[in-house]
Amino acid sequence: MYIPVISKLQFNDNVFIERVLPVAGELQVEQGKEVVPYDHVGICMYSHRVYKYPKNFKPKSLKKDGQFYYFGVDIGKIDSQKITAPYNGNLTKTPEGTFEFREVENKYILMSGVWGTVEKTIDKKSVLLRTRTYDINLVASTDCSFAGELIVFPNPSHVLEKFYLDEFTSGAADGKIVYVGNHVTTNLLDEAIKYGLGGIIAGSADRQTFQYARRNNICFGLFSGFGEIPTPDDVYKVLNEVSNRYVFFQGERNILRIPMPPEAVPVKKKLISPLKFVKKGMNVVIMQKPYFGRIGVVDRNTESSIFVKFNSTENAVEIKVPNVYAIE
Amino acid sequence: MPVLAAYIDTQNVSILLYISHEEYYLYNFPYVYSNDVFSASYSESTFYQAVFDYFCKQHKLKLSDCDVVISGFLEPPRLDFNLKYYISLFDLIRRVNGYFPILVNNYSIFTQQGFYCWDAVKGALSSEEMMDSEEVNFYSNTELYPQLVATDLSTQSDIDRNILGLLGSAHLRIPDNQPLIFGGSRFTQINMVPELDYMMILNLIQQEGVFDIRIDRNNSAILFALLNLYDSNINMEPTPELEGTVISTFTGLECMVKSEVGTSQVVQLDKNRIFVLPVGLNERPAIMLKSPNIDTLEKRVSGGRMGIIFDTRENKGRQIDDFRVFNSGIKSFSNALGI
Repeated sequence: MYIPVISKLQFNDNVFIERVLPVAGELQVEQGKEVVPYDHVGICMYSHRVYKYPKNFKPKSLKKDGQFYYFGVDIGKIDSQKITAPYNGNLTKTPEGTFEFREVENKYILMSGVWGTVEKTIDKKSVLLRTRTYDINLVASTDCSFAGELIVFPNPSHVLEKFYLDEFTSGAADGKIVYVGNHVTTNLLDEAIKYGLGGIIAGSADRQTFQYARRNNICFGLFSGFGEIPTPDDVYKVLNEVSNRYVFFQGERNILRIPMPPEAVPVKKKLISPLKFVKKGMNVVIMQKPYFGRIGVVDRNTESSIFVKFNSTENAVEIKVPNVYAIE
Repeated sequence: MPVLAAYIDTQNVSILLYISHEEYYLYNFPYVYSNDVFSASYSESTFYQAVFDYFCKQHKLKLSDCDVVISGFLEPPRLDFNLKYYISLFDLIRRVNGYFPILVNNYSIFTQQGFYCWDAVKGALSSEEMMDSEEVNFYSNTELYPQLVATDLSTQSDIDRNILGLLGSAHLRIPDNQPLIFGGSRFTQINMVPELDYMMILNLIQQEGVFDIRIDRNNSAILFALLNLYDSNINMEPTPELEGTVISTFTGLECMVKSEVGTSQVVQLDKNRIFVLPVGLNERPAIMLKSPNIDTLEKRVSGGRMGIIFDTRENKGRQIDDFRVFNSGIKSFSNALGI
């Protein structure tokens, strides 16, 4: 009997990653240069935040378009509600006749994020880097992209999630992608959104939580599926090893891309065939209640079932084909 | 040249490997490609090429030795290896002759006369009050892992209820002068509770009459139509399993069943009953049927794996809410199947 193979981890030794400045600026590397993750590859002046006001916003003592205000100063009213400057910035009128408040431009430094070589520089705006990565498959993800520092929670219980969120994301949360554990709840996701995290990843979530992430436009990815399903051990192991590394969430491609240093030895190579012959000792992932998401070892098989052991002392459990994949 | 014809449904792939009129093989591969799960590792083309290769190798053939022709639900996937022919299911279902195909999967009911479709996940989410979060999660996981099958009666019953819900207030129009063949992933994918297949068939037959029923476990009607369309010289007939005959009324009935060797028995049923009379695969008993809404009917009917199924339920077309009727139906089917 042959069954399809899932490979949660793919090692790629020839990947191109484009690093892009938000606006044109100065590139600080040349073609052929070797880079490491915290190397600066570009710099520009960029306004990080813009706040758009509704039509009924009335500015106060606005003498010229683009007038500068310090943080906290009165800038106008929405109906009877007083509005203050959310940060140091400029108030400008848009072509539609509404107002927006744009933060003063600050220096924006673009880091390489990877170990690799500059393959090409493009128009004072972007750098194409050749690198090596681990790609971890996200079975469900929102369609967005984000790059940031990976924070890994140690598969906490629900009681500790909030504690970890406070602890690990203290300071700047907005540049971080957080692995929150085997399961993420809507409440925790809501907290994470309030903290301004760049991305959330987990083993599983309820469909409702996933929809909530989609509505809030947050980068959100799941390794196993919907319900209470654990993260595969080898995925968690890799995440744990690369905690604090700069990683790339690519939702449209269903992957979390982790740059690897040149000396890293790949544990997983590219798949040879999508199908694998079922035999004793083979690793499989179960898609059947109550073992959904668990990985076990084939003990024996019949025409329509595979008997799987989760450890050497337990009896094998019967899993019906097709509720099972081979896993590499 | 051998022909490999494949029909890629929502949960599984049915394959016909045709070598000659005398030598052909039908298979089901119980998985399909899932973009969410596999795309990081391999493409859809690589997956199906490996699946087709696997079946060719069983007969010492290479895929390159075969003409590959495919159809799919609703359109076949665009595969980037050498395909000789591909056609949508819309065009193909009309080419099935001699039988009335009823194709069912978790997302649709499809006949030559109508197509009833629902996006299970979106549907589920728009009516969340109707489903608990476990059910919503199950449907959502079937989007990621489409081949999944339910392993218990309760989950499969819920799935079937949702499938029947696709019809809304509509009624399937089914001819009684052609054998009905039930195919699609609902009938071709492995089912842990086979009794529910028959319950589903009864719910899809929503009118009074006598119907010859077959379950097409390999989607042979679709595959042979595809093969015949590709090469009009081949002209093969499908081979669905003969399940028997359904006698469907909205009221009580009285029916005399006379075997070919001359023995006879009378079946008398009140309204809202399901009863199975085992009749062998090769037998063709004569029946005389009396029911208030049907003129007295005499005809020869087919036996089969199940036999003659009497269904006197007043409300057909939806999962049975009356547990007494449901349980007696399941028990009758279990007995007939020897489970």
